[in-house]
This record gives sequence, structure tokens and C-alpha cells, in this order.
Amino acid sequence: MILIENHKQTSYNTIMTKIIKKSYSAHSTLKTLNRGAFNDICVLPDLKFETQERKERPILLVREHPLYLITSLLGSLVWIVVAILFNMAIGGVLKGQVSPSLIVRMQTYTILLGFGITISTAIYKFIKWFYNLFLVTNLRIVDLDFYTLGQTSWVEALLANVEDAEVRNVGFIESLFDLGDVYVQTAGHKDKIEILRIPKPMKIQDIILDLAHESKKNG
Amino acid sequence: MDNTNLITGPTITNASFSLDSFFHTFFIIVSLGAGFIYIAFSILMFFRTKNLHSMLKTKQGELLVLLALANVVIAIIISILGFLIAVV
Repeated sequence: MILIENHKQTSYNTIMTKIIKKSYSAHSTLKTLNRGAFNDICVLPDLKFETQERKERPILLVREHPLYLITSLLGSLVWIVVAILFNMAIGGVLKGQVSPSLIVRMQTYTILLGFGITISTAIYKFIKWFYNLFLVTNLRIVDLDFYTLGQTSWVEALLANVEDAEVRNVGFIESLFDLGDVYVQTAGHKDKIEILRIPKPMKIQDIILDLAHESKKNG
Repeated sequence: MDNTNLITGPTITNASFSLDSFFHTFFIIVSLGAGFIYIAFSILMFFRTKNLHSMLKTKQGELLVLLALANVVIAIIISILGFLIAVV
């Protein structure tokens, strides 16, 4: 078991050295980045994407901090509260005016629909969180945004075109959990590529800039 | 001449309107509409997830596609059940 772990560590180190030289701080930063509880940070993620080149290797995948996911999942519980309130309203308003069996059926339906919508909303919010991501490969950066069911965006820029990266850390919770936004300015895009509410933004910025520098040096 | 009818207006003798049947019909229409919207939303979510999974293939993504499919099944079951509750 220890042998397997050692072998894994050795191959991991070899891959890392191939990707970025030891002299860059990103080399050690990548090693220290822990995989988040919800895979919010993944170093050398196991994935493939549509426009991936043959020699291209995903290095880092970052998602919004799980704190925001939990908050939005709790928000979907609102539908249960709405269903219960609607239920009470049906009982209060229609009592004595329509048959009791119709009231019971309406209330059963409301609760059933309330639970269904809550489950679906929770699944939707999880999928939305999962596909709101930022990917760094040895060639490019990719920003995938899931806005609504009908609107997603896939923005990519070559690492060689990255000009600068800015970190913004605003708010009490952001300071407490070391969260922030990273804005990447590239030569090709008018707008900045943004990664919002991510954990350890300074480290991500460091990795992007070091990889960009390495990419520019290699041409 | 007796003018009583002119003052009180015509009297409806065989009233077919009842609040019970009105709400029953209303309930059926609402359950049908909500069911359609719910199923449409779930199907759209499934196809969007599948589309995103084809753009970015991960192991967890496969599970999410299955989850979205399970959501479609849940939506269909709830909608049919809801409609049956309204009709029967």
C-alpha cells in the first residue's frame, strides 16, 4: 500500500515537473492545494473536453466555494415553505365552501408538487454549481459559465495571451474563508475572464501567471 | 299590472353553477398545466446536462446526467399522480 502511494507520488511529481519548472512558485503551490470536499479545487483533474489537443493536459480545475452551493441548496427549501403556506391558505379560504374531500385532494397535490419542485430545484442548483468552472491546462484557460437552463458560455484563451490576473477579495465571509474573485486579462478578449467566489484566489492567480509566463517563454 | 319582475330581474330557477365543480375544474386545469411545465423543465435540464457533459467529460458528470434523468422520471410520476388526484 505504501509502495503504491509512493509510486503515485513519484509519478505525480514527474508530471508536475514536466508541466512547470521547479523554480516557479506555482510548482509548490500546486502540490499544496488540497482537493476540496466537493471537488471545488482539483489538481490534475481526470477529464476531457471537446477542444482538447492531443498533448494538452488539464492542470487545475476550480469551482465556486461549496459554501455558496450549500446556501443555494438551502434556498431551494423555500418551495416546501411555499407549499405549506399554500396548503394552509387552501384550508382556510375554501373550508365550508367546497367539499372536504376536494380540499384534502388539493392539499395533497400541493404538498406533492412542493416536494417535487424542491428536489428538482436542488438538483438544478447542484448541476449549475458543478458546471460553473474554471479550467487551466498547459495550453489555455477555459471559463465555463452556466447562467440559466437556456444560457451557458464557454470562453477560452491561450495561456500565452494572458496579460495579468487580478484578485478581489471583498466581504466578511470572503475574508473569513479566504475566498475571492480572480479576473484574468487576456490580449484577445475585450472583457476579462472571471472566476467568482473561489477558494484560495491568490494561489490560483499565482498558478495562472506562472503558467502563462512559462507558456510565453516556450513560445 | 304586476311589475315585480321588472324590479327584481329574472330569476334563475335551474342553477347549474356550483363552487365545488368550479374548483374541481380549476384544480384539473392547474394540475395539468403545472405537470406539463414541470416535465418540460426537467427534460430541458436533462438535455442541458447532457450537452454540458459532452463539452466536458468527467466521471461525476456521468452521474449528473443520470441524476437529471432520474429527475425527469420523478417529474413524470409526480405530474401523473397529481393529475390523477385532481381527476379521480
